[in-house]
Amino acid sequence: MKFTKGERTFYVFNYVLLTLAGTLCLLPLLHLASLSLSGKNAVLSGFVSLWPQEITFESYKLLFEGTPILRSLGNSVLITLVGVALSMVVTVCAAYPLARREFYGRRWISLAIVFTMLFTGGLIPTYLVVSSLGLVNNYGSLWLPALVSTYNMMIMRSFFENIPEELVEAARIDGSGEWRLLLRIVLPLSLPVLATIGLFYAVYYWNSFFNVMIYINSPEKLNLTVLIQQMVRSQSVLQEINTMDTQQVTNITPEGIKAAGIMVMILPMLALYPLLQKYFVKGVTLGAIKG
Amino acid sequence: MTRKRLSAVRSAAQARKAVYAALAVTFALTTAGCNGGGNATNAEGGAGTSASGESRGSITVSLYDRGTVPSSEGTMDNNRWTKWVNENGPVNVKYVTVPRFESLQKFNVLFASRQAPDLIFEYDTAYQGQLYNQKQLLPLDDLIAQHSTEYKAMLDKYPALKKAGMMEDGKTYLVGRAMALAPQHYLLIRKDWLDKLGLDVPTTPEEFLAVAEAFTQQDPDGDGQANTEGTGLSFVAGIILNNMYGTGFTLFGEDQIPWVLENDQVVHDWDRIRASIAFQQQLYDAGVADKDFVTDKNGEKQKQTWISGKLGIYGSNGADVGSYEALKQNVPDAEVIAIALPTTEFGSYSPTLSSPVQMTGMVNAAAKDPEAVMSMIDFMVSDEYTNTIQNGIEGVNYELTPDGRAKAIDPEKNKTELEYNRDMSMLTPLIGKNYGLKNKVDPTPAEQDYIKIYDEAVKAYMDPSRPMVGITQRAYLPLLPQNLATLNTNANKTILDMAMQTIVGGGGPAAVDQFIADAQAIWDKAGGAQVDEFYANWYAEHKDDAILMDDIYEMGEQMKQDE
Repeated sequence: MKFTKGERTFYVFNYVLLTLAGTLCLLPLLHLASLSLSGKNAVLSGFVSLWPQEITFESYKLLFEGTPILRSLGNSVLITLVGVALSMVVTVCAAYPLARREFYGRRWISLAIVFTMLFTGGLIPTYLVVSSLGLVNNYGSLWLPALVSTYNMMIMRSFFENIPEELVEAARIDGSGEWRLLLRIVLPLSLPVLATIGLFYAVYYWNSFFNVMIYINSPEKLNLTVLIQQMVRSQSVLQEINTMDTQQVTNITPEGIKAAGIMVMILPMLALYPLLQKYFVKGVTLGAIKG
Repeated sequence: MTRKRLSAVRSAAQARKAVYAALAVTFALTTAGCNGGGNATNAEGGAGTSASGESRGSITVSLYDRGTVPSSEGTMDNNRWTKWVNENGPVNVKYVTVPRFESLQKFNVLFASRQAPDLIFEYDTAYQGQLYNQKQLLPLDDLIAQHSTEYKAMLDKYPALKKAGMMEDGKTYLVGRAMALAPQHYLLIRKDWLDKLGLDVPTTPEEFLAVAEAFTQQDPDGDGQANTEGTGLSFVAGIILNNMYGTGFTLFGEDQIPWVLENDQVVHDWDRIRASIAFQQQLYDAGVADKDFVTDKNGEKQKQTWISGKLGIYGSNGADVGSYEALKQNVPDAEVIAIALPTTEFGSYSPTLSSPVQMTGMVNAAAKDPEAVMSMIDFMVSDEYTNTIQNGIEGVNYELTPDGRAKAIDPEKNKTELEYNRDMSMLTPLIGKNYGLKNKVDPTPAEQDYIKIYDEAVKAYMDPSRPMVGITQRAYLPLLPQNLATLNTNANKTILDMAMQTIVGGGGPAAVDQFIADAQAIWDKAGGAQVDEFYANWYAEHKDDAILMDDIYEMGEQMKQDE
C-alpha cells in the first residue's frame, strides 16, 4: 500500500508518540524488576535505576521462605478462578434475557438494575448483611456482594443486542431450544465480550483488597494483595516519629523483598492479557448474514 | 432489649435461610470447602489446655498481622507463641488478627458488628481517644485495684504510666509500657570530611551553613567531581533544623506543634518558625541541599545519598545500624559522629527523644470477663511472658550469659522462629538488660561503632539544659476534639505548603516575612485561636498532673537507675 505524504507524517508521529507512552509505562515496571533482582546494599544506596546491580535472587528466596506468600498466592488464585466463574454465569444469565426483545418489561428491570449503580448501602450496613448471612471469614463474602457488576452486565447486554436478530431467527427455524440458542449460537458469537468481561472480573477479584481485609479474619485465608500491602506500607512506620523502636525497625520489609512481592503479584495478570488478546479481535460475525 | 435481640436473630436466621436456599446451587461446592477451614480455626481458640483443672476464662485479644510469619511457623493467630500463651497463661486466648496498616478500618468494622476483641492493642493515640469518646472502652481503675498484681506494681513503679493512661474524665482507660528514654532523632555528620577539610563541628547556624558549603564545594570525598551534598533538608534533617530553633512546627512527619511556654503561658509561636524557615531558605539558596527535597517526604532519597557516601550532614531516625553498615560498605573510611544541635538566638535544644511511656492497650467495654482480661494484662507484663516473647525458650532460642543477659543460640533460627512475634509484646517494658543496642551480647563491628555514636547522642541530647522543644512530647498532649482537630490539620496543611514554597522560592527575608503574615492570616481565618485556647486552658488546668518535659527527663533518670 502506498501512503501519501500526510499519512506518512501521521504514522511517524503516531509511532513515536505511542512508543514513548509505552516506554513510560514500562519504566516503573523495569525499575521494580531491577530492585527485586539487585543486592541489598545496591538497593539501600540507591544505585539501582533501570538495570539490576549485583544480580542475586536473594530477595525472592527470602520472600518465599520468610513470608506466607505461596499460601496467599494460592488463595488469590482460588478467589479469582471461582469468582470469575460464578460472576460470568450470573452476568450472562442476567444480560441475555435483558437483551431479548420479546422479554416483557425488560426496560423497567434494566432501569431498576441501573438504579443500584447510584446508591450503595455503605460499609457498615453491608458488613452487617454479609455477617448475618454467616459469610464472614468465608470467601462467599467476596463472591456474593460482587457477583454481578452492573456496569459489566450492561456492556454484555449491549453486545448481545447487537447480535443480528436474523441469526437467532434462523436458529429457531432450525428447531433450536432456548438453552441451545444461548450456548451454541449467542455465546460463541460473543467471545470478545466474554473475554473482556472475564478479564474485568479477573482483575477485580485478583486485586480485591478492601473486602478481603474487612471480611476475612483468618490469616491463612488472606490473599496476595493484603500481604503485599502490608509489606509496602511497612515503610510508613518510618514516618511515625515517636513511636518507633528497634523492634519495629526489624519488622520493616526491605525494599528488594517488597519489589519481589509486587512482581509476584502483577506477573500473573500481565501474562493473562496476551492469552486473551486473540479473542478481542472483533468481527467474527462479519459476513454471517447477507443482504 | 433481649426480646429485640431475639427477634433480630430470628429474622436474620430467616433471611439466611432464604438466601441460602436461593444460592444453594451455585454455592454448594465452594462454601462447603471454606466452612471446613473456618471451623478448624475456631476450634483452635478453645483448644488451649487447662492445666490446673479449674475453669479458665476465655478472652479474645487483638494482634497485628504484618504478613511476616513464615509459612513453616503457621499463622499469626496460631503459632508456637500463641500456643505457648494458651499453655502457660492464666486464660484461654483467641487472637483476632488485624492487618497492621489497615488496623483502624478493621477495628471499626469489628466494633460495628460487635465482634471487637476484649483486649485491644493499637498504637494510634488518636484512635484510642476516638474509642474513648465513643464509649467503647472499659474504665480500669477498680479492676486494677482489685484484681491486678503485676500491672499494679508497674504503675507504682512508673507513676507516669498512670498519668498517661487517664482520659478526660479522670479514669484509667489505657494500659501501656515504660520504655528507656533514648535518642530518637540523630544529627549525624561525616567526621572524616570535617577532618579532611580542616573544619570544626558546627555550633551555630552560621558555622552550620559554612560547613555545608564546604562539604558541597570542596570535594570532600576526593573523587574529583562536584557530586556531594552538604546537608539533608527533608524528613528528619528538616525536623531537626526546626527543632534547632526551638519550634516543634515541623515541615515533615505528623507533628506540627508550634506551641511553646513563655512565662508559664502557652503561646503560639511564630518567631521561631520565621527564623528556622529563613535559615532553611538560606541553605537551599546556597545550593548545599537536594533541590527536590520537598518531594522526599519520608527521607528515603536523603538516606540513599547518605548511604552512597555523598551526603555530609544527615538526620537519622532511631539507631539505624543497617544504614551505617551499608555506608561503611560503600565508603570503608567513613567516620560518623552525632553532634549537638547548633545554638541559635532562641537557645540550645535537642531533637526528639523516644517517649518514656507508651500507651498501647485498651479493654473493650463489652468484654464479658474483665477479670480474665486483667489477668492476661498481668501475664503480659510478667517477667515470664516478656522474657519468653522477646528471647524465646531458654536452651532452645537463647542461653544466659554470666551477667544474666540473653544470648541467641542461633540468630538465623531466631529470625524465622522468633522475630514475627514482636507485636505480642506491646506491653513489654522496653527497659533493662535485654533491651537496646548497648546491651546486645556480642555486637557486630558496625554495632560497636554505633554504640559509640549512641553514647555521643546521649551526651548531646539527653540533657535537660538542652531540652526538647515544646510543652511536652506529642504523645502526652491532650487530643483535640474532632472539630478542632480537623481545623488544625487543614490550616496546617496550607501553611506547610506555603513554608515549602518559601524555602525553595528564594526572595530572602522579605519572602519569609510575607509567609509568616500569610500563615497567621490563614490560621486566624480558620479559627485557629480556638486551638490555641484549647491548649492554653489545658495547660492551666493540668500543669500539675500532666506529663511535661521535666517529668520526661526525671523518668529518664529513674529508668537509668533501674537498669
